[in-house]
Parts: sequence; structure tokens; C-alpha cells
Amino acid sequence: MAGNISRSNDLGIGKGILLKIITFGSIIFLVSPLIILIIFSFNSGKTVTQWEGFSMRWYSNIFTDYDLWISIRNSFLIAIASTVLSTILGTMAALAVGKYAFKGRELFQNILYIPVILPEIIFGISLLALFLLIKMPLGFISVICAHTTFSLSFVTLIVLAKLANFDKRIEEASLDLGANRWQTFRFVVFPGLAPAIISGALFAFTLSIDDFIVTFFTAGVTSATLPLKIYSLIKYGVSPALNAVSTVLIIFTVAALSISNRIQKGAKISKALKYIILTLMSLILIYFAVSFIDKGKIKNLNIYTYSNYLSPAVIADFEKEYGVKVSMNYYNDNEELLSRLQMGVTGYDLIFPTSYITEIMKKNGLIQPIDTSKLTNLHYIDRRFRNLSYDPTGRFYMPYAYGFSAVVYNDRFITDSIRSWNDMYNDKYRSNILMVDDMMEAFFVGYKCLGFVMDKDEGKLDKVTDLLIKQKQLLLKYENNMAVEYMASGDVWIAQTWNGYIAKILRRGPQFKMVIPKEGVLFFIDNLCIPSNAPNKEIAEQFINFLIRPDNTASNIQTILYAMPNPDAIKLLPDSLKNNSAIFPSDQMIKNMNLNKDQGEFSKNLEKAWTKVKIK
Amino acid sequence: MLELKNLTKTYGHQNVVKDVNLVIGKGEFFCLLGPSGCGKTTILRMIAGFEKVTAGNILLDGVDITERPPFRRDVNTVFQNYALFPNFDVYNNIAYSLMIKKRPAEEIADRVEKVVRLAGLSGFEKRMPDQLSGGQQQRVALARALINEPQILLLDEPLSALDKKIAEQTRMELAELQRKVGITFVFVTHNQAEALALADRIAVMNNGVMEQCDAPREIYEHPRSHFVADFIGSMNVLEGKISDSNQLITNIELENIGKVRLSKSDIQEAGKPVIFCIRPERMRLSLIEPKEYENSLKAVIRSKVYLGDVTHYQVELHGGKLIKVIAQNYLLQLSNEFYEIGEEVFVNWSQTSGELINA
Repeated sequence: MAGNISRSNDLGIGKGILLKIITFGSIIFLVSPLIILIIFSFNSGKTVTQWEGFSMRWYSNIFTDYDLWISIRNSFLIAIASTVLSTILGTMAALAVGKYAFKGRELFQNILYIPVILPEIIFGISLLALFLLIKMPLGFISVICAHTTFSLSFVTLIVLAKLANFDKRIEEASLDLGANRWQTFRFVVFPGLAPAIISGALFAFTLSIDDFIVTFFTAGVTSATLPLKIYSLIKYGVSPALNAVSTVLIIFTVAALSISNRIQKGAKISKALKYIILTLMSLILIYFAVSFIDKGKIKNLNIYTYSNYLSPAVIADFEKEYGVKVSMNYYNDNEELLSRLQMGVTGYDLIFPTSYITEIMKKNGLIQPIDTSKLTNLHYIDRRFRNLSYDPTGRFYMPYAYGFSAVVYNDRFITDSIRSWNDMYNDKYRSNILMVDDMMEAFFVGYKCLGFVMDKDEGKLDKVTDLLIKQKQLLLKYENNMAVEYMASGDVWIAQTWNGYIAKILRRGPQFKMVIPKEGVLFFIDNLCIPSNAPNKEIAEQFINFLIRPDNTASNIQTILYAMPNPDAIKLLPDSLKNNSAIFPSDQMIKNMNLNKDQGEFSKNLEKAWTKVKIK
Repeated sequence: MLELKNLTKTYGHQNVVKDVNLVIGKGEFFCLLGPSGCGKTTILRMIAGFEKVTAGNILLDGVDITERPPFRRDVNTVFQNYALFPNFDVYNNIAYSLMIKKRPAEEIADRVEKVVRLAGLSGFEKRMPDQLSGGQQQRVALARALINEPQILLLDEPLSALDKKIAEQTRMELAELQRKVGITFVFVTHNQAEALALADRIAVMNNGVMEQCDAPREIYEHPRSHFVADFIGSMNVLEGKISDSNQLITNIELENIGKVRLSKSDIQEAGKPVIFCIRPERMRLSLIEPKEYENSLKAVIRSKVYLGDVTHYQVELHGGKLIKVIAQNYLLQLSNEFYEIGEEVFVNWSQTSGELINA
């Protein structure tokens, strides 16, 4: 009633057309991305920009993706545990602050606000530092602790707000009528605060389910959550499967929040409890279903890699053959892998660092030699890929996959002949050029364009930097994972990207052409390495041996569409793949292979120059 | 039966209740009256057990209950805003204390029904507190507190949240209820009309000090302090000195105003500074010189407010002092005497009216 009265005034406030435009504009910007995301989760095609018909295939995809279910299970376990803990602790904190005067109360209250105010990334890093300092293993417990700490603040704030409106006399009335303090809490205070406590709990739950940053820092090898999994999937482009997962997550979050809202508005608590109990039951069911699949596996192997970088069939075969439970954890790029290992995160048995990162890791003692005597399949590996410059001993790595970046263009838009890196940067193509967002790739192209050799000369670096800045003005953007979508939609006419993406682009039609620029291309080799502190070194070695068996290698090549140095495996591939020049470079190219090197101290200069390019 | 001994409460350096001594008898309707901040509610809360006592003792039937928690005192409270449990309906609000005591269900039902009838709440048992009017809420609060049949019922301004009309009606019901149940009521109010109407005895509080504790009539007729005189009803307060005094008559010299005479049996010491108090309704305006047995002062009408039954005049005495005179309109009509602003009149009153208070 009061609301109605105060709103229907005669001042003409809220009637302006401008206000309406702003309001609707804001709502559209808020909601439309979500609607688009949901619509494209039903796209039968592989892109998120071109509609190719209705399909539920991505939903069936995600429902059969075992890794995804593991991460969903992890998310819910962590969310439930941290919700229970933070709700209890947060309510207690709110009662303490709201009802009792004690020494240091103000300070205590301010400390409670810290997780709300502090940037999440700082909070995450500081928690990680703490966990490493007290030698707490990163895993479920650490993530639950982390989530509890920040959820607790929100629960406290919500309960405290309710407590501020709570009539103290009602409590006194209860005491007065003969109820002791506990009875008073149970019969009067708790029912009064229950809506706030429940909505605080739901809030904590959604915070935990959605959290990425803090989880990223505090998760261990077996506790990757759904947001971490989604993030790692981005490596392979935004596929409708991601949309489908996100849609499920959105529906869940919105449901939780709307229940929370209704409770705060005073809906019957018993009804809300019913919802909550139902949800919990279904979650427990999921948990048991997933656990059932896990059953009977005692030996563990923890792999830390890019998502979709191994064939699930190969992993399943390995699990069956060796009786090992394989846990997958994903990173998004080499820097992430390196930084986590350098921060001292442990538990990984097998990692997939790129060439120059392998060199840095070896220098810093982060990886250990592989016992090659145990690798009965070693002879299948192409000799040219053993003992490479970044590890002449060849003991610290086993080459897994390799590739290069090259140029791909659409001849509907580009009729000029493209032969050199320089040909990409034509003013006619302004804003339709894409390059990968990678420092070493960018400088490689820059040095090649000017015909320089990358040495440690600062004069050359300055010239290359200036060139890159000039080139950048012509680009649509620097972007790693969306080349397929951009090329398909026609937004990009010409792109520098990795050959795996090029292979996918070429499949889309004859208008797409690949060019190996005459100055040469930059290769990358992703290696199999064993961290120094790997808990299951021998199983990791068994797995490496398993991976380099030609049939398994062939299976992996078909999954990831990158070449692997295993001639016997290539023989097993279908012809269409075997002869695909976008996947398998010529022998000539391999012979003249350019590899990223660790630039040592000079990499600081490169980084400074790269920052200069990026901010221009 | 309820005894407060040297009861004192301080918050930090502030004395809220200072050394209050009081004995309240069984079945008494006792009123704590005073302006807000006088400490009356604090006394009530100390009796209930919500506030810690700084010094002194509270005895109930001779047993010291000073340190007992609220739930171990045979005392119940009706709160100012009623403090009903919002999550329980009327029935469960009333049944709360019996439920806490884990009484059998039939007994609870019986007793609740009885007080529901007593409080006139039949038919409202299933309502939630927010579906009740203020008066109904107040009855629930009463019923909830009475169901225990406590030795003492504490009422903290129970009528202040009600409309004037309903408050007056509830006041009467409250008095009747108290007679019926025979429980000692300790009633806190800032409203003197309530106190005068309801109480067997009133304790007037000011700044944490109990100024006077007497029957309503005594409080009104014979205030013993400047504060009580001022606070209860309206009162003209005039400063002066005793000229002379004997067993029959005391003469008082009022500063800058003149002489007045008071028939009182107690002898006052000559020259002593005093305050002479007289209620406005005891004074009379007249154009005619007074009789000799009356006090009389010359005055000028400065304002008049017509209120239907009475007219309030403000008159200026010699020396500029303003006092109030209340005249019954029907008497004015009978004598056909109406006074206009600026008119010179006599203010007359009987020598038996008025009180002396030590200055």
C-alpha cells in the first residue's frame, strides 16, 4: 500500500521519454546477451554466430561428457559444503555483531566486510599464499575454506540487515514468558531470521557455484569446478556446448536467486524448504551416480592440460587397461601452467608445456627426467623431434603434438596474391584482419616482416615494435580462439592462426585458402612432461608410453587435428587427414622449423614492447 | 510483597535510577509516572530482569531476585509495542509460556480458552498478529502475560500506542480486569490522566529520583515538590516568603505581586522562602472587589482560549507575572460575566486553596 501511495505522485517523475529509453536500453543490454547465448545453445551448427537449425545435440553432448559431470559434481559438493559452513558461521557472526557489545566489535565487523570490498583476485592470491604457507594441500578442503570465507561475509551482511529490523522486545517477551536463551533463539529469533538466513544460504550457494577467480587459485588437481572447466573449454573456441553448459548454469542460478527473493518477500518457508530439499536430493543422486562410475579405481593419474587435448576414448582405454583413475585438470595457456607450478601448486603427474616453456621449467627444476628405458614404444617417435634445442638431452620431454601458425584467407574478399607475412597488412583489408593474441607469435611475424633475425638488439626491437603498432591499426583484434567463427561469419577476411584452426576453416568451403608465408612460420611443440613433485611418476610414464602407441596417437590426432611426430600413427589415419597440408607440414618445413626460445633477460624487453603494442 | 531497596542504575557516568526505595503491596495497582527519560521504564526493566541492577536489591515475597534471569522471575510484562511473536498466531502467542513449560495439550487449551474469553478475543485465535488492530494486539499481549498468573504484571505504557478513544475504553477495561484477577499491576506511563484514573498509588519520577509516592488524590492535591506540582495537572507557581504563620493562618509575601493568605494548620518559620502553588481551576475572575476571606490580586486579561466546557485565561499580575485561570463556561454564563483581552479584573480564590512547597 505504502509503495503505491508513494509512487503515484503528481510530480511527473518517471514519465520522461528519455528515462524510458535509458531503462529499456539498459534492460536490453543486460538481457539480450543471455538470450542470444541460450538461443545458440540450440544451434545445430558448430558456431555461435551462425544459425544452422535447431538441435539438442549440444545438450546431449554435455550430458555424456564425463569430465563435465565430474566438474559439476565438484561444483555442487563445494557449494553445498561451503554454504552449510558459511551459513552457520555467518549467522553466528551476525548475531555476535548485531546483538552483543564486545571489545573489538567494530574491528570485527570491518574485517567481515573485507571479502566484499577486496578485489577477488587479491583475495584468491592471498588465500593461495596462506594455503601454501601452512602446507595445506590444494583440493576440496582448500576450495571449501576459500568459498566459506567470502560467502560468510555475504551471509553475515544479509542476516545483520534483518537483525537490525528485528524487534529486541520480542526476544525479551520470550525470556519474560519463561523461555531460556536457547528456547528463545529456537522459537523466536531463528524463525524471525530464517528468511534472511535461507536467502543468505542461497546467495552463498550461487556465489560458490559461480565463482571462478578464487577457485582458480585455490583448486587442486581433483577439485576443478564447472566454471574452471568452462574456462578451459574456451581454448577450443566458443562452441554451442559451452552455451548449453552456461544455459544450465544460468537456469540454476536464476532459480536459486528467485527462491531467495520469494523467501525474503515472505513466502512460506516450508515451501521453500521443500524446493531446497528437492534440489539437495537430486544433487546427492548426481553425486552417487558419478561416484558409481568412479568405483573400483584406486590408482590415480592427475593430468593438467588444455581441455579437449586428449581423446576421451584413449583415456578410457588406459583406465580400463591399467586400472587407473585419470583426473583431468585444465589450463588455458602456457603462462597459466607455468605460474601455477611456480607458485608451488602440486599434485599434477603429467603436463603439456610448449617448447620454450619446457626450457624454462627445466631450468627452474619444475620437471624431472622421464625414465625412457620404460618406454617400450619410444621407437615410434620421429627422431627429428627428440633432443631438440630446448632440451638436447631429450630426457625431460616427450613430444606430443606440434603445429604452426600460418595465414588463412577468404578469396571472396581477397583477390590479391598472398605470399608473404607482409601481404596480410593491406589497407584494403582494414578491420578484417585477425592475429593471434600471443607475444612470441606477434614478434616472430614482426621480425620476419622486416627481414630481421631475432637477436638481442634493442634498435631492431624498437623498429619491430613500431611496425606492430602500425599493423595493429589494421586489425579487427588480437584473438586466439575465435578464428573459425570469425572466418565463417565473414567478419574476418584474412587471419594468422594455428594450423588446427586452419584445418577446421578449410573444411568450411573452397573459398578458404591457406598460405605458408615464404619467410617461414613459427612452430610450437607441446610436450609431455612430468613435474618434479609428481605423486604418481610411474603411472605417468605408463601413460606416456600408452599415448605414443600408434593407434592411440592416431586417435588423438583425429580428436585434436594437430600433427604428432609418429609416422606409424599417421599411416593409420584416413587419407583425407593424412594428406591434409593444414595438419601435416611438409618435410621441408620441419627441417627449417622455427621454434620459440626462452629469451632469458631479453624477454623483459619483449614484454615491455608487447605492452606498448597492446595499449596503443 | 514487591520491594525495591536502594535500587540504582547507572550507564557509564549517567545515573538513570537513583536510590529508589519502594514497597508495592499485593493486589495493588501501582503506577510509575514521569516524563520520558525519568527512569520509570528502567525500573520496570530491572524488575522484569532485562536490565542489570547497578546497586540495590529487588525482593519478591521476601526473596531476593536481583540476579535472576527474566525467565526465573514470577513476573510478566506487557510491552509498549506489545512485542507479539510475529511467527505465531494468537493462540500460540498466548500459549507460548505454557508450551515452554511443556504443559499437557489439554491443559494449555483450557487455560488459553479462559484467558481468551477474559480478554475478549474469542474467535481471533487463528489470526496472525499483523492481522489484528492495535487494541486487539494489546489484548493478546495482556492475555499472553496473564496466562501464567504471575505475582506481578508489569505494563510498559500499554495504552500509548492506541487512539485516544480506544485508549480510554481500554483503560476502563484494564482497571476492571485488574480487579477481577487480583494480580499486582505495576504500570508505567507518562500520561498523568491514566495514572490518576487507574492507580491505587502513584510514584512520580524525575531524573531517576522518586519525587513523591502517594495516592492519586494526595499527589494532585498536595504535591510535595516543585516538580510534582508542575507535572501533575496545570499549576500556577509563585515564589515568595513567609511573613508570619500560626496554627490557623499563614501569610505569604509574594515577590513583586503582593500578599496572600493560606489557612493551614502547620506553622511555618517566618522569613522562609517558599513556593505558593495554586491550580488554575481554583481561581476565579471577577470585576467586583473580593470578600475579605478571599485572596485577591489585580490582573489584566492577556489571552483567552475558548474550549467548550471551560475557557482558559492568561492574566498578567502586578509585576508582569503571567498566571493561568480556568473558568467554567456555564458559571460565566450564569453570572453573565465575560472578560475581554485587556480588561482589568480581580483574581480571587479561597484561603483554603493552595499549597506551600519549600523553595
